[in-house]
Amino acid sequence: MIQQILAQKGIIVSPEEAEEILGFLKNLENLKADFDARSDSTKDILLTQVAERGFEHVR
Amino acid sequence: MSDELALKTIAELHPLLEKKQLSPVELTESVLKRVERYDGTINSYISKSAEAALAAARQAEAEIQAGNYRGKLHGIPLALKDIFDFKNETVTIGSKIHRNYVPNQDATVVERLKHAGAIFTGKLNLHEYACGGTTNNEHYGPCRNPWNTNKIPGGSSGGSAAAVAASLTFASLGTDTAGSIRIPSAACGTVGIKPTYGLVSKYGCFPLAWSLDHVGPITRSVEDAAIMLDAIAGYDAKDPNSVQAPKVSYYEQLNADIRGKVIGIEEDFYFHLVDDQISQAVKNSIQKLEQLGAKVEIVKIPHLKYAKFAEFITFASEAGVIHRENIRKRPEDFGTDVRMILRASAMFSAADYLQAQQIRLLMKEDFLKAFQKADVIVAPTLPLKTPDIGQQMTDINGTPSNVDEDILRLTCPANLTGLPAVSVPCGFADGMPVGLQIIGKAFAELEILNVAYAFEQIHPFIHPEL
Repeated sequence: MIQQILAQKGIIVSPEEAEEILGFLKNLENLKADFDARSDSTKDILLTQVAERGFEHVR
Repeated sequence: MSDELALKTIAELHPLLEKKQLSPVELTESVLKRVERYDGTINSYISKSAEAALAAARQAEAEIQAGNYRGKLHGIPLALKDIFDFKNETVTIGSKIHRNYVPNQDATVVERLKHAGAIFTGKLNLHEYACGGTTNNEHYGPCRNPWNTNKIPGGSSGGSAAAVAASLTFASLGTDTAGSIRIPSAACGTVGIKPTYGLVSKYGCFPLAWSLDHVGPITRSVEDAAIMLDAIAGYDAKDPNSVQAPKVSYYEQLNADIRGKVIGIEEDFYFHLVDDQISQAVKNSIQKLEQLGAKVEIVKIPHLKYAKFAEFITFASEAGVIHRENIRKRPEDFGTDVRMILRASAMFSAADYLQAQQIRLLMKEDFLKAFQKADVIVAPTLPLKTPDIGQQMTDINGTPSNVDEDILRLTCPANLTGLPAVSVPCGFADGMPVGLQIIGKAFAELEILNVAYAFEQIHPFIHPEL
């Protein structure tokens, strides 16, 4: 599956490389699993904050 | 005699140069001799420029003799990470693809160091495109840690920290996107400061991830870090992220009196899954800071637990854009680990990236709250003992640990938030240096340097035996 998706984006990988990428992506998903589980209302508030305040770092 | 000179700090040397008691030529020769003697093993230099350095040293000597002393870096030999543009010189960025890249102008930091009268002895090894924490460079060979040449020096500015630790240069500049100044500084026992986002210009520095990249010094003392920061900090109209911050003279204002300073300790993230010896060395250091008059407060920064996710998504997404064409057209020209991360980034969604930015915002708010209770936050720089070269898996107190993922775990929050952070040596774990990380409020570089300076008075730099 990953091989096909990447191929559509012009990136050709071997089955072994696809497996390694899949492992990496699963690790990342696990790192924020409970962030995903927050309530929809909290997400709405956060998205509003980002839209209003932008991504700037320190100001 | 020559080794004695090369082992000194800039703070020790600049008065001698100013008073014409020391020749920049003699000083440069002393460094070049050490590079010839030791760098065959350490491999901290990608390219050397001995003749140009000696010519620049002769010019500096003539200027100083004529009464035109420019300041504390005049006549001081430096070598920078091979990622900064030097006009009409080859800059490789540690890559095969850019191995013949010759910029037509200087990076702003290079321009400022040249203006300050610094001399350049060469360009230093790094993880390919600064995209990794080991400096196990497939194109230019692995850089080795001067404390144990079987070990990594950390990265991505591994050549910089290794060269500084081994006294193959007096100071260097690195870049830091997830910890790439502080990680090698901890691993090699040097001082490394990542300034606040926007304080130091990135113009002419090849980007890894533009919203996380920072430029800063790596040195053998806090005083030298302050001297370097004085030379490079300040607004640059050519860098869209540059900030008009109040001008501070870090070196002149350094103060080791930290009585009454409040040190914040965050335990849930910064002391979770950290090697026992490292944790103990850092806790001992905190006790020493208390003995110097600081107070300790426990603080909470709940969103730190998402930092690794936000860091990987942000840096890989932005790097994936920068290398978008080459990763499709010539993937075989990237090193194995860099190729994997750039390909994986093509799988990330816009939602992933936006979630990562949400987390950054929440972390910033957490830090702001923590800084209402504390002046600085102190933590380990690395959670794991320095791995061997090529080692992909290690363990932390018996728990398996992926080196590439865990080496940046404790440093990346300062990149995600843009806050300044310095790593100073604070002890040893299995004979390898341990780093103490001091994180401050935005633009509070002087405050974190002062805490580092106070600590350095009781725990100065130690030279590795080569």
